Amino acid sequence: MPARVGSVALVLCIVLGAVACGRSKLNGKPPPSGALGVVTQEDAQAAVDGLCRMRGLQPNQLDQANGIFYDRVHEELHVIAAATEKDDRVASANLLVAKEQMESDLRAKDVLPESYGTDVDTLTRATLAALRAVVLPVKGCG
Amino acid sequence: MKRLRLLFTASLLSLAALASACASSGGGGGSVEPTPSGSNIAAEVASIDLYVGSPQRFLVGMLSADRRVVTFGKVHFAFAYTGTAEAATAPQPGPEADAAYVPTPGTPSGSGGPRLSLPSDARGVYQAEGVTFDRAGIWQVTITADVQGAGPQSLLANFAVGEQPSYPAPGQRALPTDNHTIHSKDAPLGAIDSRAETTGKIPDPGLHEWTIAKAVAEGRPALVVFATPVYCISQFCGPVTNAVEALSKRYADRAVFIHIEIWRDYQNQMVNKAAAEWVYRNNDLTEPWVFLIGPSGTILDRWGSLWDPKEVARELRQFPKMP
Repeated sequence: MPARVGSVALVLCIVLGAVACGRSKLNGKPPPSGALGVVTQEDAQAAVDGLCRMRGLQPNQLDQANGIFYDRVHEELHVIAAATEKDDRVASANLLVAKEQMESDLRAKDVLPESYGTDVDTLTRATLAALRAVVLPVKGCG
Repeated sequence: MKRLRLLFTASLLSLAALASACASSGGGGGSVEPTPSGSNIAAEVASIDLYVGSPQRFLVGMLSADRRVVTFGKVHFAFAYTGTAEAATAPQPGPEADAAYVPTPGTPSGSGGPRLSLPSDARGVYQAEGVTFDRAGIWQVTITADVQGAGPQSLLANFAVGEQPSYPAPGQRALPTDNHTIHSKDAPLGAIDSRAETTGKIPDPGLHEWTIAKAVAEGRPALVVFATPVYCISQFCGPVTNAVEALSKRYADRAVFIHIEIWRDYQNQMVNKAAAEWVYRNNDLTEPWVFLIGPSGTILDRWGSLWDPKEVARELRQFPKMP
C-alpha cells in the first residue's frame, strides 16, 4: 500500500517534529533514512550525547539513567538501526543487541548493575559504528 | 527457513512513532524535563489487518511534537467511510466508540483524564473494542480528547479495511505449526529467542516447550506470541513477550504458552519458518502478534501490537483447569 505508507511517513514527520523531515542534506546527499524515518545529524548527536551523559552516572542513579535513555536516546536508536539495516545489517544488529542489553540493565530494581558502565560504552560504540555505516559523522564522548 | 524481504506495514511504522516503548523502565522521571513547547499532537492508527464484518479492537497512538505521549483516561473515536483508493467519496459516518488507555506492559495505567507524559513515565495507546466496519476501503477516524495541558483535541487518521483478514484470524483453524522448541536440535539458541544472543541462554524456557502442532493435537488451549525481543522494529516486542511470560506463570493450568521468535538469522534476513507461516503475508512481516487458540484448534482471539494483559487473562480464565 504505497499511498498509505506515504501518508504515515507524513504523519511521522508531523509527530517527530520538523527536525526529522525534509531538511539538512549532508554534503548534498540526503540524510540516511529507514522504515522509521530520517536520521538527522542533530537527533543522532543528541542520542550520542545522551549516552555520554549516562556514562557519568553513579550506580544509585537508576531513575536518571532511565529518564535519559527513554526520553532522549531510545527512540533514536531504533531510527538509526532501521536506517542502518539497509547498508550494514551487522552494524544494525550490533546496535540492537547492545540496546537490548541496556534495557535489561535499566530493568534493575534498585541500583544500576555492575555491567552498566561497560554496557553504556558498548552501546555508544555500536551507535557510532552504525552512524559511520550510514556516513553520518557525530562527535563521541571525548 | 526462508530468506525474505521485509516490508513493514504502515501500522508498524505508526507504532514506531510511539516513542520509547521497548521495555519496562524503572520510571521515576529521571533527570530530563519535558520541553515546554507547543502541544502539536498527531494520531496514528496502531491496529493491524482490519477487515469487514467482525467486531474488532481499534488502537490509536498519539504523540506530541516534543515527543511526549498522550496517556491515561479515555478518548472518543468516530469513524467514517471515505471510499476506496481508486474512488474517494465524501466521508460517510460510521460507528462511534469510547476508547480506553492501554499502557505498554510494565508502565502505569494512570488515573484521571488524558495528559502528555514523558516516555520514561508512561506510554501506550487507546483502544476501542467491538468496532465493526461494514465496507472494505479507506476509513477515517476522528479522535476527540481533552488533553490536560494541551486542551481539546480533534485529530484525524486514515486506515484501510480489507474484505478478509490477511493474517490468521478468529474463527479460523490454527495452523499446525512445528515451531522450534528448546528441544530442537537444528535451531541455534538465537532462533528460539533472540535474547539468547546477548545472554547465551533462553530467558523464558517455559515458553519454548510446546509446538503449536502438539498443542492442537492434544486439544490444549494455547497462547502464542510471535515477537523478536531484540530485533524488534515496532518497539513493542520486548514488553509483549514479558507480559506473556507473566501470564504463563499465573495460568499454566489453563493453557500452554508459546513464544515464537521471528528471526532465525537477523543479519542474513532469514525468518523462522514458523513465524513466516503466521505473520508474513504479501511481502509483509508484522510483529508482535498474540493468538489465543482454543482446545478445538480454532483461533479464538488475536492481538496485534499492544494489548491489555488483564483482557487476555479474562479469556484464559474461561478455559477449564487442565489435568
